[in-house]
Amino acid sequence: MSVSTDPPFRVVDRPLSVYRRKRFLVPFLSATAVALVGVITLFAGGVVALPFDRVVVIRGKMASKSDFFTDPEVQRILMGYGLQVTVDKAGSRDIANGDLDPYDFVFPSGQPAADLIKDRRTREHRHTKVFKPFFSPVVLATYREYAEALRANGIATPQGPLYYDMPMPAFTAQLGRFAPWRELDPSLRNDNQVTAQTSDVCSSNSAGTYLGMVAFAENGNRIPQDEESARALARKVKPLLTIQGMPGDDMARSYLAPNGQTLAPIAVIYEHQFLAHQIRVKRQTGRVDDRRVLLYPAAQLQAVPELIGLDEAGDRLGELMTTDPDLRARALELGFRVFEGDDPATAGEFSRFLTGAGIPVPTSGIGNTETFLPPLPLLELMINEVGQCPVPTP
Amino acid sequence: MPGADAVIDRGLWWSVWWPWVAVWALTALAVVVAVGAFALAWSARARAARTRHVPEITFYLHEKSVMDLYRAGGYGDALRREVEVREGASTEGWFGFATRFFRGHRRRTDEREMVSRYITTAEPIEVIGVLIDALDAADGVVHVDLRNQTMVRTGAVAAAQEKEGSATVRLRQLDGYVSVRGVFRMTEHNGGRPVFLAPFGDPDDPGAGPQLRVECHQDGLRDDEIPEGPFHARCLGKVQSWNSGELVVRPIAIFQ
Repeated sequence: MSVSTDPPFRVVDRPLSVYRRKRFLVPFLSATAVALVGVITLFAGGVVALPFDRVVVIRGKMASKSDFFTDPEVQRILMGYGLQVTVDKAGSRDIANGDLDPYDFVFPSGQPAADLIKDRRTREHRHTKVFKPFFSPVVLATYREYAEALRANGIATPQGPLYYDMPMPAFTAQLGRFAPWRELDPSLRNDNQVTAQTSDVCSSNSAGTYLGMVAFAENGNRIPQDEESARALARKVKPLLTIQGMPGDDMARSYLAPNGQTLAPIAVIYEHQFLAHQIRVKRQTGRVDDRRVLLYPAAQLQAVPELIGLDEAGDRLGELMTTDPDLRARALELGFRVFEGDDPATAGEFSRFLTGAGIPVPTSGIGNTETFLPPLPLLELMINEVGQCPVPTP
Repeated sequence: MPGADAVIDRGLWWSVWWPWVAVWALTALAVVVAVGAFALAWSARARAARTRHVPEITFYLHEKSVMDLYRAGGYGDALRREVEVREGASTEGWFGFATRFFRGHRRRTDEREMVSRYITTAEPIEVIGVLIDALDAADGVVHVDLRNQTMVRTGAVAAAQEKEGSATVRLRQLDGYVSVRGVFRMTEHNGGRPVFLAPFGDPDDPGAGPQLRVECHQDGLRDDEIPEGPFHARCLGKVQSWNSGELVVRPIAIFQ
């Protein structure tokens, strides 16, 4: 046998160390990359401790502003902050006179009730912090044919497709005639007396505000200065307010019901309740509900609801309500006028939002003429006089 | 606290947080997989490190070459580690740990004495394992599989490839130590010098084709009994020459 040269050998690589083998490197490197990206993402999102974070339940008591907290989108936004708000509904004045211990915050719809609460907390040396996230004027909501009847009789003036201006003295004068609607317009076929229906004046801020507006108008745009004149004025306007008979419970719900026209031809509600309805209808049908319109008292009274934090949790909610952009945007979508910096009119965002939503922008509600309410003790006296309110249980 | 007894709306919580929960879960899973993969690899590596080379049967040992290589090769560190392993095995538990830990300077002196003593007293059969490990660690041995005609890449092999400009390498190009696995058979026994041949590749006739030739000394054989017919073995040695169809390798040790 003769072979000229030894055969060639193929060169193979030494088996890699465990750490360099594909079976280790692929899962290890890919898992490490995913873990790294995940950790960075979690830190950036501030949710590293997510599984261990507790949801803080915040309990509040309020009247019509419960519409805000029962809104699913608001609930989602708050849950994003680890907060869940539960709401007990009550009239604003009931809130002021009731037990506040079970609550983290209260949200009365207007100044008088808020002042009552703050005075009480101050006397008791308890924590109180006030937030004003948005406001909404008190308005008289009605149906177009009724508004037209008022217009035809020189009581209301149209402005825009959904709104009317209405000087309160003209309206209260009509109330004082105790005349039926049919007298204003026979086509209405309504034999009830012309009136505006309210919630119980003893518990509701909107009703108390309406009382103040009627009294202001009937008193020559002046507020009473003492108890005697306050009591006299209350007795004078009482018949104009008790025409309705038993006060309603939730006036917005009655007004917005399909048969609301028979329940409440004119209802005293907040502007945001009307606008929220119009926004909803517009989104669903592409058109506004032009059957329902608003009467804006010419001498406006701004109802500024005050969120009163009663403890740390309530304060946290108040801070969010006034600063969180998502909550403010949602407040606009629900028809509220959010405060913008130092501008008390806060017309900018509100107008832009309504225009964008295809809702006519009211030019009323922020006029130069204002309605003034009597000092709180006198207003309380008038409310008790008109409503024959039961003495609150201690 | 006012809201303390309220029921958490878990449905709402999940609807809001599920994307972040998914990110969190994925991240946690990735961490577990990464740590698990690393732990498994570390365990496998530790297991491999702990498992000493399963000793083969030493079939042949050229004692003089082994001891010369051992002494001249400067494998003191390897020996030291071997001594430590044996010393650790002989002194058990915390007492052994304490004595080793607290020896300090005295320990280093003891070790040098121990190493020196070990070098002068060690038997070839005791040091051949250390020698092979040390050669491997120094990349000084080319592992060759005669049947598959493959060799494992080392620095020397890569240098040979580069020199010849070829992807393949011939054994006679290697001037370092080789460890050749093959099927050997004794073909001659010339006056105390048994000769073993192993074919390149895997021919049906072991005698066909080029052969690897290993000439041994009789007194290096660990056993008088030589297997009849072909047997698998590994030969550690140095390539000498290519001659008339035979690649001559000078053996230091042969293992079965």
